[in-house]
Order: sequence, then structure tokens, then C-alpha cells
Amino acid sequence: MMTLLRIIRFTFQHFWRNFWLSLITVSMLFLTLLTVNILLGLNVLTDTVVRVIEERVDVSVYFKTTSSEETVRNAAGYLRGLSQVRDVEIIAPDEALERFRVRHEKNTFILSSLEEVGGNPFGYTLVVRAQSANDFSFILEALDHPQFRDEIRDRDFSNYASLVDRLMETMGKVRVFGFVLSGVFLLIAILIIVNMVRVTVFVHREEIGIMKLVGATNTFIRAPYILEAFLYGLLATIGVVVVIFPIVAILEPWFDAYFQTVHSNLFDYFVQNGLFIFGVEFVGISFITLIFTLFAMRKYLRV
Amino acid sequence: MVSFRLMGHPLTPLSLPVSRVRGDQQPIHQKSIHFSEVSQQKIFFTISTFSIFSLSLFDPPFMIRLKNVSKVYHPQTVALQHVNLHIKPGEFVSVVGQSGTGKSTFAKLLYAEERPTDGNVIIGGWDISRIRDAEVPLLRRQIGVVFQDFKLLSKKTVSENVAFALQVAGARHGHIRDLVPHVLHIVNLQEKANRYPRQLSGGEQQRVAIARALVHRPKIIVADEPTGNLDAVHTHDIINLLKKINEFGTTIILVTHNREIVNSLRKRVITLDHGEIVSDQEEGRYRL
Repeated sequence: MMTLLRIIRFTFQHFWRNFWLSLITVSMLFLTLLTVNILLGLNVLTDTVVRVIEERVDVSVYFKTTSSEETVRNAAGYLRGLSQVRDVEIIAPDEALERFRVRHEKNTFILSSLEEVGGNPFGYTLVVRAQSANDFSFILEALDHPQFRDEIRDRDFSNYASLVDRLMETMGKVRVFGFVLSGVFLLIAILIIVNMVRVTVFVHREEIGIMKLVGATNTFIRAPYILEAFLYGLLATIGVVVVIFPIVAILEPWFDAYFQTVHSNLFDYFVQNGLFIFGVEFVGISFITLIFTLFAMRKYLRV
Repeated sequence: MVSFRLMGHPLTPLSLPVSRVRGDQQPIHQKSIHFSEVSQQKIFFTISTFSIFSLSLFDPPFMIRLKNVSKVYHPQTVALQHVNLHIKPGEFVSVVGQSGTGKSTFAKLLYAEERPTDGNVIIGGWDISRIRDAEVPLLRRQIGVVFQDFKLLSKKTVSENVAFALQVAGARHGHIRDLVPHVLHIVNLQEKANRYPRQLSGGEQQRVAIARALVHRPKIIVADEPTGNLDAVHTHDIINLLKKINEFGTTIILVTHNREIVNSLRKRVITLDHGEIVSDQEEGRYRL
């Protein structure tokens, strides 16, 4: 117990007496963890963006004016039976006409054209909302059902489909970039750790020799280096916790204003999962640091 | 581990793994060592009666024994060859010789910095010729070593340097707190306990090194050219300190090439030349 306390004291002494080197290492580990957390936040935001799109994006299925209400209701029932469909709204021809008029009330040209056509040019319309953006292609295929395929005049989704695809593609690229950036930071941190142990051992080789001469065991000499690896991980994690929450708190209202109807839940996400996220990050980064510290000691610290 | 407690005082015999204790080894008792004579104040610092192991009651007791020891460095550099000697407890032995005659190798064999190529090195009954790495710290906690370049930890204060030798051995905080000032008093550095080595003179640094070597209450102190970096006054101080420590029973091995010191000591002198003992005299003189 006494020896353990001394090892802990020597660890802090070692950290403090090599302050700048320690600070650089902790900074690199901090940047690595920060990038990982930015990626996690980005994931949450991506989900929010997709939710926003899914809220707004729907497939409008326009039936011919000759189609009966019964056919339309059958089609709506069929679609509601699909697990990919979240909601189906039936818009009657009169309501469709009214919505059209409201939407274009300032465009006299369109309204006069409507008058010229005479009567109600709209048939029944189904507004289909999917569970997720990926389900739209399936829903469109389902609408090819022979029972009402010939009743459908038009489907309106093509623009949204490409928008969702582009969004997914962009988010995918951002994630890949984030992972690469995390990897780069981690690599730099590892190189710094290995180099730091090497430099420390080189600088302190005489001191280590003296420790051995007065009867220090290998464990007593090595243990502070090992504990220091955990100390780096702990400080980097604490640093990230201290930085992440204020940043998220500041940015969240801005995101919410941007998304309007959908709440991003970014702060809640870190509050609810913080213990797990930062716990895993601490264990992970400490483990990686420890592995490479052991590697560096094995290579450079011959005691 | 074998250890003893005699006269109600915590003893530090030359502890060795039980497996290394031979059946015919018997404890030999040495006289009490009172450092109170050294200090001006009445500090009763007792290194105490302690026990060591000798090979046999019928053999002359020895603290150090080298049996046909050779040390060859690659490639074929012979540092020591066929060295036989024994040193009794409480002896003050000067090991002299020109540079490269194997003096430092001899010293390194005693604290297991080097292993002999052939032969046996026995310290207090413990054959350390093939000592395992894990056992080396145990040996070194029982042998004080003093070097020409002091080998102090530059980022630790005087008292921290002395305390460190106890800390690595797992000594209790209270024990360290009590013992370190006493040892610093012995070497007359109590006023400079909180200074760093760079703030001390060469002689003072060497006294710190001696205090650190003493703090384990060792049976043997190996001093490898301890005055090599010192002026005449400090050299005199250090040698007097070593003599005083020796008077209290600690075996001193002084490796030196300082003629004046050796001649003034009038103690046993072992002369090495080309790795061989060419002379071994009681009350010897420097003869090269």
C-alpha cells in the first residue's frame, strides 16, 4: 500500500516535472477524443436532419379524376398495411382544388387557367409518409400494384429522392472524413507517447540507473510510466467533458432554430449517454496509451 | 527472507532468499555502532548489532569472498582473472591499481552490476555469481555504494535523495521521517536538507551520497573513487567519514588510485594489475 502511494506520488511528480511534454500528449489525446465526440454529435445531427426530411418529405400519389373513392380507399388501406409506411392521408378532389387555390392565390395567371379548364381537374390524392427516407423506393414500387396501377395519374417523389440520396452521401463522406481525422489525431498521439517515453527514458536514464543502484525494483521504476498513461487518458477525457457540454449547449438553440419543427436533442444525448460515452472513451484511450507505453518501455527502458 | 531482531532493535542482517542459505552458515554478531560519537549533538543513532552469515564456524568469517573470479568482456577483454580473496567483516580495504586494471569491475561485481564470467562472488554467505535480476534490488538495499560522480537524483532535494533509498525498499513514512534527519546529521548536512544537489559543493554532494548509502544500515559500503572529483580538503573529510563509519563496524571497500589516501589510511591494500591481484597487504601502502 505504501509502495503504491509512493508510485502514485512519483507519477504526479513525473508528470509535473515534464510538464510541457505531458501537456502536448494530453492535448493530442484531447483532440482525438474531441474529434470522436464531434463525430458522435454529427451522427445525432444527421439523424435529426433525416427526421426533418422525413417529416417534410412525402410521396404524393395523384389518382385520375375517374378513379372512385372506393379504389382510393383500397389503395390507402393497402399502403397503411405496409410496415414502411408511417401515415397515409387521403385528399378529396374538392380539398385538393381548395389547397391549390390557396397555394396560388397570388398568381392570377394560374387561377385564370384553372377557370379556363372549368370544373375540378383534380382527382383523389394520397399523401404517403414513410418510416424512413430509405423506404420511399419500396413504397413507389408497391404503388405498381396491378389493382390500382392504372388508376394512378402521377407520383411526385423524384426530387426528394435525389435530395435524400445526396444528403446521405454527404453525411457518409463527412463521417469517413471524421474517422480519418480521428485516426490521424490518434496516430499523432501514439507517436508522441512512444517518443515521449523514449525521450523520458533517455533523459532520465541516469536517474533510472541511480534508482536501480539504491535497490529500486523494476516494478517500482516502470509503474509510474504505466500510471502516467492512465493519467493522460483521464485528463484528456476530463478536458473533453469540460469542453463538449458548453459547446453543445451553445450550439443546440442554433440547430433547433435551423430545423424548426424538430428538436435536435444534442445536449440531451450527451447528458443521457455521457457516462457511457466518456467512460468508453477513457477506457479506450487509456488502453491504447498503455499499450504503446508498454511497447516504448519494452523497447527503450531496459531495467 | 531471513531476518533477525536482536536487543529489541530492528535489525537489518544481510537478508537473502532462504533458498540461498547454506546449512553450515551461522550468524556472526558484530559490535554495536553508535553514530552519536560522530554528531556534536547527542543523537543516538544505532546501526546496531547485526547478523551476517559466514560459510562455516571453522572457516575464518568473511563478509566478501571471491573464489577464482574472472570477468571477460567481449571481445576477449579480460578485466579480472582468477581473483581469490576474502574480506572480513569490519575491514577497511583499499583496492588500488592503474586505470583499466579491473578496479571498477571488481566493485561492480560486489553490487551485481556485473556478473563474473567464471568463479563465485559471495557476499555475507550469499553467492551472487548468478544472482537473478529480481534479487538484485534486495542485494543493493544491503550494500551502500558511493561513486566518484555522486549519482544523486538532481530533481530531488538532499533529504529526498536519502529518503528515496528507503522509499524504494517500502519503508514506512514515519520510519523515513525519523531516520533521514539522523543520517543527514551524521554527514553534517542537516542544515541543507532542502537544497538540491546543484546547490551543494562536490564534497557536500559526496556526503549526501554517503548518507544515502548509510541509510539502509549496510554491512558493506563500496566506494568507487569517491574522492576523484574533490579537492584535498573535501577528500580528507570524506575519507575521515568513511573511516568513522568503518570504526563502527561497517566493511568499507575503497576503490581508488589516490596514493596519499591509501598511504595515510594504513589499512589493508589490494593491488590489481591487468585484472590480477599482485599484492594484498595488511596495513599496506600504494605500490605502483
